[in-house]
Amino acid sequence: MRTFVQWAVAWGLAAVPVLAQPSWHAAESGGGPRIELFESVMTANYPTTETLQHKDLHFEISHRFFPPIDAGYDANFGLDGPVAMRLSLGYGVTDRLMVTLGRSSLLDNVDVQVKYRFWQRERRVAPLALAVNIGGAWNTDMPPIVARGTADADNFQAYFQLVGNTRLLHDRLGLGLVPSYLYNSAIFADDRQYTLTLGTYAVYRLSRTWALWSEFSPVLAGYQGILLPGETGRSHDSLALGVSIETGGHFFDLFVTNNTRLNPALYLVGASDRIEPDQMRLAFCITRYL
Amino acid sequence: MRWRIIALVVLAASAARAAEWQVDRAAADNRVQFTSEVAGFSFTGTTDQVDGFVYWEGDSLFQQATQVRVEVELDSFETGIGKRDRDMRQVLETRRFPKAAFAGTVLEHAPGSGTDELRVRVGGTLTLHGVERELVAPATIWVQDGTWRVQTEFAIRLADYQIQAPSLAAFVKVGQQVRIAASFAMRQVR
Repeated sequence: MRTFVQWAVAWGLAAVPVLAQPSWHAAESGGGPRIELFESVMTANYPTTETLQHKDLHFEISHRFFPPIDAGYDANFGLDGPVAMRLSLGYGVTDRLMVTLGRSSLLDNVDVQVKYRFWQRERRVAPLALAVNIGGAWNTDMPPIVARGTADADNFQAYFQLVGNTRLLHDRLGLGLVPSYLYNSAIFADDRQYTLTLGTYAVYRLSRTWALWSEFSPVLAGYQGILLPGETGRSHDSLALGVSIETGGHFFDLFVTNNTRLNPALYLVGASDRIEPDQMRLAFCITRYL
Repeated sequence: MRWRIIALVVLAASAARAAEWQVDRAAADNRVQFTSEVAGFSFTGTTDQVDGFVYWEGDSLFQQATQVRVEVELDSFETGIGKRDRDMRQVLETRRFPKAAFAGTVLEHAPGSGTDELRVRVGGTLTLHGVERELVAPATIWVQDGTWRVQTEFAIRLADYQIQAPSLAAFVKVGQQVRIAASFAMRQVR
């Protein structure tokens, strides 16, 4: 027995370097890294699944020039104006929830949007993220021919947007689908109308600074008529083609579009003009993280 | 019976001859901070998501087979501006390379100027952005109430880790040199 114990001790001491190892194990990451599929919380006209970080602010100024580019040099290709203009300010309530307050010069449409990013799936190819964007709009400037008070219930609109984003081609191509439901889409109609629009967009990154993008928004169902008294005909599907320049917290989106309506409650009904070369307008959207 | 004796001997021997300290993740003042400079001003990013251990065999401090490992979750750095955090995550490709890790050993150690102070030099491999580079860095250990407070400071170059210096404006690049400072608590687990 004594011989065995001696042997056991010798064997045990020899085995120590092999068996003695740190007991440390890396802690699991909480939920994995956040997937960031787009550089900004918005494209020119639609939300992305990105949200502001907690307590961050986001400012937007957008212009849509009414005269078409086809008006030529005399109208400075549309830049002489007039314009439709939107200002908005977003705030990150949490890392997943943000609120945006905006105002468009068209009908003095004021809107509040709440966006919540609720799902993501990390994948090597085509990672996915989903968000919802819920908004309410108040048209505060009624044309003189409309006998209606500012606070009339017919002046209010609401919309719901489901936002889906993914990236392809080694993350160079970002894609977005935004099925959008707009309630009371024709505020001057006798009956409450709705409009169902499919927002689509694609952003192709040429570099960290430059990107090319497009948006196409067919109206799938519901109201697609005129938006303002005095307009004739109907609204049309919307198209925007542009370039994006990112410089240190600023995004400059310069583009052409047939839709000069700005706030979602107006834009989702469609464009007042057809998608034709002579109907395209110059436009820009400048955003800044504050 | 014989196997029990063997197991007991191995356990007793290994317990007596090894020591291990681990980063106390619950400590309130753990901090890893980087400082970048751009066009005359600097900004910092900070996280408390640091983890790791120091392990050695033998009865005396860092006697033999000393291992040091420190990991930092890059996704968790905050610079105070969300957009800048996003840019940083994009530049570091944190989806592909979520952690920075140092793995090495203690090269030298000597008493510091104060009581309960130890100055060490560690050497090993820093893995960042999927690139491994040799790194030697100084560190100071303070022994306080049976715990360690470890502090270190060193500099790295972004290009060494194939990190493309981001730009804060169109043509203003963040400087190549980034200073790293870390301070964290460790507790003995063995």
